[in-house]
Amino acid sequence: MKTDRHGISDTDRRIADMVRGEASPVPRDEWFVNKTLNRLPPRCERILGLPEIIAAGVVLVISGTVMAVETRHLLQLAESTSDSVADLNPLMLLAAAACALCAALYLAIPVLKNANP
Amino acid sequence: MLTKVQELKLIALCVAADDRRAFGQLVEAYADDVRRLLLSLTKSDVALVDDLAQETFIKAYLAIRSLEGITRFRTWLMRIAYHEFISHTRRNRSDKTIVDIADCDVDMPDDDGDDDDRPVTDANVADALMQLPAPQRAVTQLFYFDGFSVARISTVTGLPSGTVRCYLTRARKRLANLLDKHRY
Repeated sequence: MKTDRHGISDTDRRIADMVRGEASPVPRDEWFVNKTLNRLPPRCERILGLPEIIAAGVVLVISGTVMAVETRHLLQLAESTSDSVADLNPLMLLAAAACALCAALYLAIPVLKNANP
Repeated sequence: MLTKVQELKLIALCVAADDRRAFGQLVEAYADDVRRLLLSLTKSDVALVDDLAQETFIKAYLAIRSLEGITRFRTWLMRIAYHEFISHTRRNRSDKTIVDIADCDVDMPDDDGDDDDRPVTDANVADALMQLPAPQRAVTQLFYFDGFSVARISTVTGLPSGTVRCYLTRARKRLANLLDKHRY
């Protein structure tokens, strides 16, 4: 049997024409695409982008620094070595702790959700 | 029919942005190819074809990030569709449409006297194709209708290329005598 460089013979070509010519058309279903898309699973949870991670990291660092400074002042006050009671701002300590907690949760929750869907 | 560039763009949108409209365009472009292969495999059970075709596209969507060799998206889809049919058939053992894929080995003599080699006397090409076992039908459909090479068919079906050639030889014997009747 003579074949071309793809290994296809004249008989193959004629059979291909016959199969294509005699094939019944695929039944049309205009809703097929919509039905398929409706069966797709829900979208994945949004994963944090780089700017969001950097912003949360900066908040964490600043909050951590404020907390460290205020805690040092608090300890100095307890040892009566602080120059002034005005150095201590308990509200600032609490605010910094809250900021640090929020930033940590902001980073951790999407990661935990994606790890345990 | 999508160009390669359009196809790549849509795949990139699906991977990077989870763009379902882009995936919808891919489904629209390849639905007929996938459904045609499944129609051939299921002997025209349209309801089953739609179900398997949808499963095929859902699996493709879920695995699209792992797609290697993006230029072969159609081959990849056909592979998923073929294996979806095989899985369905294995789940429903009562369905006898599938035969052991090892029934045609290159080392086996082709004239072993089994019924697969008998010439087709029916004048209807579609009926002649339907008389073939499922893997041979898939191979014949992919080679003669979709124009796939033996290597691509081997990728789609997971069959060794020698087995694909063997199936094609059998199909050729069965179909060749219809040529004159159909004036091709």
